[in-house]
Amino acid sequence: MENKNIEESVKNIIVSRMKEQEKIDKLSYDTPLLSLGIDSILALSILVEIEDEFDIEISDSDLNMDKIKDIASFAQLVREYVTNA
Amino acid sequence: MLKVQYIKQILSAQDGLSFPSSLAYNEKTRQLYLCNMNEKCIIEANIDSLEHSILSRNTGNLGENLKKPLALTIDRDNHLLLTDVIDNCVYRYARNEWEKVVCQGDYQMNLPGSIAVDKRNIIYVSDFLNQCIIKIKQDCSVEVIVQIPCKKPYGICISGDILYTACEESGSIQMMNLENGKNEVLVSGYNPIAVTADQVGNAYFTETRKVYIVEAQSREAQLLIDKEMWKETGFSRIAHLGALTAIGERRLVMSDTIRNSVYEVMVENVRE
Repeated sequence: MENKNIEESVKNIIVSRMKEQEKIDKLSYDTPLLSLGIDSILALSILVEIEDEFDIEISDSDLNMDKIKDIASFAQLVREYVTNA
Repeated sequence: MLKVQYIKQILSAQDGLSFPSSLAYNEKTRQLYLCNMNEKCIIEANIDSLEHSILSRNTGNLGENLKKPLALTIDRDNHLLLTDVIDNCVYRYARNEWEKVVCQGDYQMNLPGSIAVDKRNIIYVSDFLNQCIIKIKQDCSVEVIVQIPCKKPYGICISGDILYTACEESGSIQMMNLENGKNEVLVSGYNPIAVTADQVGNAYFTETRKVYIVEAQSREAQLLIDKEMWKETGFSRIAHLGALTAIGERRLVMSDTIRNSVYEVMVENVRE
């Protein structure tokens, strides 16, 4: 899968969970998710939806906020698992 | 050797679950209580019939309801206690409303993520952002438990005279004897989230997608559930096992906070 597709898909899933249009408008690939009001539980929920979307399973050791701090890092994590699937 | 005898799903999103963050069980009334965080309410369900209803959300302040209930337990008088992480306090359910447990002094909780009660009705709270476990005594004074040096305390539970703490920082389950104040590590090398214990002293804890048992005698952790074992159940993949409570010897209820599902798990001893 192309890099751009993964990043777009991840971004779309994250945007679908956001409520404030103002924050959606300002969203970029390196915007910290925490600044968007996305806490650890919501981030995990997004990650599970991404797992289902890409049919991958993230290992426990990768399930931490350091690896999913913004869209770019989220997409990078997904790319690693898609590539190795 | 211990293994899972059965797993059955007992509640789901169809029952109105939305981020089921905590569980508590009253063995006398056989009622299971579930903190339905996103819906800002507590669900009460009979463990046998699974009939369920929602408790009043009223906090006793005019027109106000629970804001973000996170953790739940039952005290020795069979009252429900919960933590609210917006109000950063403990509420007790009495007379169909939630009454704030007002603490003496200046102590302010900051993300009270788990709660337990001992046999003297002293309340223990895992105060996550204050990086400590506190106890609220019967006179409502607050004391930090310095014997538990955990800077990222997650789930706590009390069984008998033992307070169990899931410590994310050290990757351990710690156990403190409430009679003599001695704290020690039960097991380490994990990423524990929720912890519970049954009446014979077996401890159970979850990682994000795993469940372990620590038998009372051996004090060694044994894996009960992981993704490979879970595939055999046919249920949706585990997402986040955020809550756990024992409802009998080797009988548990656990919740997947993200999948909005609650499961009953029975463990059996199998000869190798």
